[in-house]
Amino acid sequence: MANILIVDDEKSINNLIANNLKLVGHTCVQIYDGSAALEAAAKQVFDLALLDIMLPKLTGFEVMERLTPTPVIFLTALDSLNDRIKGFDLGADDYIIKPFETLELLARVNAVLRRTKKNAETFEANGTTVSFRARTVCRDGESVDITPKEFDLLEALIMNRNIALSREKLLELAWGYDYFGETRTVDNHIQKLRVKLHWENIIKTVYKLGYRLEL
Amino acid sequence: MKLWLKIFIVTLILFLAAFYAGIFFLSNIVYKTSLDNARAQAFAQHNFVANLLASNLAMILERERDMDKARDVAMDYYAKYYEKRGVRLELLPQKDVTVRGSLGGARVQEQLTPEFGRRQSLIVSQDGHMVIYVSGYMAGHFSDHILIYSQDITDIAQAQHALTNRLIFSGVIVTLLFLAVLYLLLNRLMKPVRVLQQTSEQIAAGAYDVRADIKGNDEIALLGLRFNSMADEILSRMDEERQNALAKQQFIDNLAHELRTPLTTIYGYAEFLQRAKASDDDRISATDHIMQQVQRMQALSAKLLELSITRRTDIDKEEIHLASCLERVCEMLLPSLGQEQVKLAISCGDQIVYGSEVLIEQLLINLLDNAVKASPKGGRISLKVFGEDAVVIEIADQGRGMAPQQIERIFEPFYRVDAARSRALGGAGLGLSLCKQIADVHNARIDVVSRVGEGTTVTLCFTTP
Repeated sequence: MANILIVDDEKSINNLIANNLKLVGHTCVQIYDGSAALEAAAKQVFDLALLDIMLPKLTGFEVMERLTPTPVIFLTALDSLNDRIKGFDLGADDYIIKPFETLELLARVNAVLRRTKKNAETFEANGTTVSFRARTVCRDGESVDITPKEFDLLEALIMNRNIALSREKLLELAWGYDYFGETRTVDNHIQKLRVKLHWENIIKTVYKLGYRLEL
Repeated sequence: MKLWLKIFIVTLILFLAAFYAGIFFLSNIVYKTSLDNARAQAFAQHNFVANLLASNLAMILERERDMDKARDVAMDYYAKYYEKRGVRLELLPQKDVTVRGSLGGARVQEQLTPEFGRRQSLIVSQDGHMVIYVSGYMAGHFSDHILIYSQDITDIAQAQHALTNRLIFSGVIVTLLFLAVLYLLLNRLMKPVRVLQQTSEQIAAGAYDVRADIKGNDEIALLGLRFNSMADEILSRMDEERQNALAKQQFIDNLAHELRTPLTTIYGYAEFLQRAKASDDDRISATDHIMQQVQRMQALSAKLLELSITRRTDIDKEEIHLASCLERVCEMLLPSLGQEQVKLAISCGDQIVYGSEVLIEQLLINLLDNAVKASPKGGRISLKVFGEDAVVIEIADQGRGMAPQQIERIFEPFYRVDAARSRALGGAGLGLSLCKQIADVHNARIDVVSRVGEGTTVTLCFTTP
């Protein structure tokens, strides 16, 4: 998965972001001030940078100007329109305002990675390979017959792996906001995925919460 | 109606009344006097003619022997003679005093019948003419005869008329002049009032910086002066209020911002704990972060409470011996001084300030704590107390110092010179705000002088005991 630079001087928030990104398979480098961020970026290539704006030494805006061509998401408490416009003017790929929800952060990170084609094209677990671009699943070299909805659900689980997703959230992610189905639909599809992919042990039911793809 | 118009009309009415009453009074007196003169002259003439006529008649009577004839002869001569001078004479026996010819009318006849031995006068206007009649009994033999003397005095009435006309005409001119002068005078007197009125209207419409431009030293100028100072006062109060409101708004904004970070963190880690397949290490670190942030918010709320208490409290002013107060402060600071290896040099006499000892201690601890944080390892801080009536406490460090634009803002709540470092050290950015408030309730002034890289000097000046 992607290699991501996290720049935030608030240690606890920096750690929180890193923890969540690591859960879904990204690798992270945690940096706490502006100039150190530039140094880190000079040493290695990042697929994405999450930048706070109010940073010691150099502001997020200043870092952004010198960080090209790395894609950047601003992650900041500055919520004024001017700051947002300035962020996008500088070429930011997204602008997230604190406080944020983890799932939203992950979704936006994925969206940017997909746009910049830095996302993984395949995912493999327990002998099953999922190709995102072709939207196909192979098990032991043989193609698995899978419906489009089942694939959407599978993708949501993979993108947020190691994080428990409620049935409602899964409905929203796989079926869309405007779908008013029953949560039983989710249970049925999960059941089918477990059988088809032989993932009975890694798609786990989490008590009172929902389902989690565990690796 | 406008004030100036009221004054104008009232003054005008009073003036016209007085002026024309004067004119008529004067012309009446003149008229009366000239009539009296005419009457006196007519009486004298009548007397003269009566005497002359009496002596002549006596002579003629000796010759003629007939009374009526003698009278006719004499009168023929006299009447003709006086007619040339505009005077008519008639001599009539008492029994038939009838006014003939121009002496028409029963009223005239009746009134011209004098008492015996006296003269009677009458002034009659008719057909545009004015005639004075004087009648009186003759003396001596003709005592039963009445002599009537009449003279046209129309010219007196005409002169009176001309005089009145002239007075009225000049009166009109004087009135016009008066009007013009009065108008100009009132205009001039009312100008400051007009200026005041316009200014107050402008101020009412929102132009708060407009002032009345009024010169002089009369009551209105004084009123204008007071008005201006009132407007100044209101403006400064409004500014103050606006500043206060702005500061409060900023405080709330900052507070909201200040709460956002810990809340984000707490929510984020709670979510992580609930949903993530996390290792035990991750779980412990997550709960650690949550607890740290809660502590931070507790500290913040304690500081906020302290701020609001300080603001509200009317402090009891007790004697504070600064020397012993500083001793206690030093004791409390000892751990952090030792940790940073910073030396603190204190020079203090037996100065006394008045106020709350707890608050002053808090103030000194905060200021010294800041000095320690700004100082490098092994740095020096000096604290000097001097002055007798106005006690001054000076705290100087040789630390990092601040830029002028930073000094401007250091008393703002939540402002941090070095945000990242201060937060790492657990500061809420409220310490100096609290110091400022403590200084304010003690009527003390805090001044900060600083240069980047050279150090900071804070002076605390107690202005009133």
